[in-house]
Amino acid sequence: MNATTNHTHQPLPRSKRALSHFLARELLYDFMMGRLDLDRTAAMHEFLKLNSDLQEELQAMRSADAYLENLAKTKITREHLDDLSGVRSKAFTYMAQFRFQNWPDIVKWTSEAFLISFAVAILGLFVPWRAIGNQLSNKVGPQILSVLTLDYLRSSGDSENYQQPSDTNINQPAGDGEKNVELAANVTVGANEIKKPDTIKTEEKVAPPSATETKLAEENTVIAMNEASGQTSVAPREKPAAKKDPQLEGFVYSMMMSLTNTNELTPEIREKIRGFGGAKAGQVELGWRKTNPPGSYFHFSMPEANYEQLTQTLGQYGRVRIYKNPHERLMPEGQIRIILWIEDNMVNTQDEEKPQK
Amino acid sequence: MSHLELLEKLALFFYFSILDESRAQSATVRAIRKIKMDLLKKKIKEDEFTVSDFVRVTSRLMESVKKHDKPTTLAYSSNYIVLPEKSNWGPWFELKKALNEREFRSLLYSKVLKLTDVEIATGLDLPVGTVRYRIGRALKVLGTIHFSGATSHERHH
Repeated sequence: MNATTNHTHQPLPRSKRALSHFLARELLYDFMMGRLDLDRTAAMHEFLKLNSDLQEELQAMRSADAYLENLAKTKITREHLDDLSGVRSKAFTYMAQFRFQNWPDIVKWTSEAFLISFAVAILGLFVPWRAIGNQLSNKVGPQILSVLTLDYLRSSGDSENYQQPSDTNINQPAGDGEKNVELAANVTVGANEIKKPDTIKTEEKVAPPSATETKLAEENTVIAMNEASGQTSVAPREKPAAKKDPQLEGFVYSMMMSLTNTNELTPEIREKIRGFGGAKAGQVELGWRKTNPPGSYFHFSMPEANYEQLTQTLGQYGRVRIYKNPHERLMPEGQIRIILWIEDNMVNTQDEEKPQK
Repeated sequence: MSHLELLEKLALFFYFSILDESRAQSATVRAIRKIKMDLLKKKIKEDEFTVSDFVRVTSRLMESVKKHDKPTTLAYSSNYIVLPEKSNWGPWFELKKALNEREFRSLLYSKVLKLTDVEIATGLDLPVGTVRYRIGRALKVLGTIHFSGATSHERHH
């Protein structure tokens, strides 16, 4: 057992490792660096003793190593390292170039001018200058449309059904109480209601109220008078507290209707107006036919005393919307000026607007 | 690898490789930019940039530089580089002409920049033995140049 154990622990005897010239040359660098094992190192020592050319080669390599050791002491100056520290990536460099501060002056000025002009153009296009102008003019010189006060009687003329709107000053006229009358008053005063005197004057002379004006008027100041089948008792009164422009001391009544057979009814209505003392006030004849939008235009003056009769008569034809607008023209005492526009109703869908005649 | 260490090794690598101050500087700047871009893309901090990464980046950059690489005069200004005492750039200049690029670069990494063989092998994606073989061969060539120069110099004197 002991012999066997000793045998395993002792290295096997082997022959001396001989090196060829080629192998010794290839191992020369590792030999110089001390990377070879003991046997190889010993073999290299033995081989070098016998080969002077390899000795010279080893000496040259050691000389080169020493040369490189000295060369490796080369240093970069601190200034240059600081310069290199300031080097940025290309992306950073490009970004820096695109910064506004780094732009050329001419490009800066051009871009600024372009931006300013663009901003001005945007302001000019999208800011509602007209609305702002209207607001400002309202603040400077408020022109409040006179508030039309009407009595609203309902149906049978029963005084119990009479309701006085809280925001209006209504004097109840003596209603006859015979027929069902439905009146509704809704008074709104707004900026769009204001019309400058010169504008109104032009409208009077040239043409009947346009559809746009009619629509605006409907949105703002609406006095709806629904007449089912009876009489209408309307007594317009001015609100005492309403402020008026000194130049707009007069009034003009705008009445609007929509009938299906306007053309046929126009002569009849004309005669009735004349019967109430109505006389042409504008430059066109009573019942002037207009094509676009189609309808009949009546511009007339008449005694104020016949106003109620007129509204009752018109109410028999259909729904009448009445607007009372301030106007610079002051009518003589007892006279009122009325613009009646009867539009051709192309679509006959509303039962309440069926002509009674 | 610290920031200053990286910068210095980059500058030295290109100085010893290109042997032209202005071209070496521009190559160094290009290398720094590329490394910063790589770090930015891979979202790696500069401290995590390893020596093997340095070897990989510089060897690839030198592939593009070597097309225009012609050893010129050895002119270095003292503002940028501090040469050791009794330094002689002649053998290095001759070595550049005598060696191929792979052996020259291996020797530069190992003996001048003092990188380990493993780091060089990792960066070049080569076995360590191959790297050592290149270094040994380059060293023999340099030794021949340097030793013969020294002996001839001694003979002159």
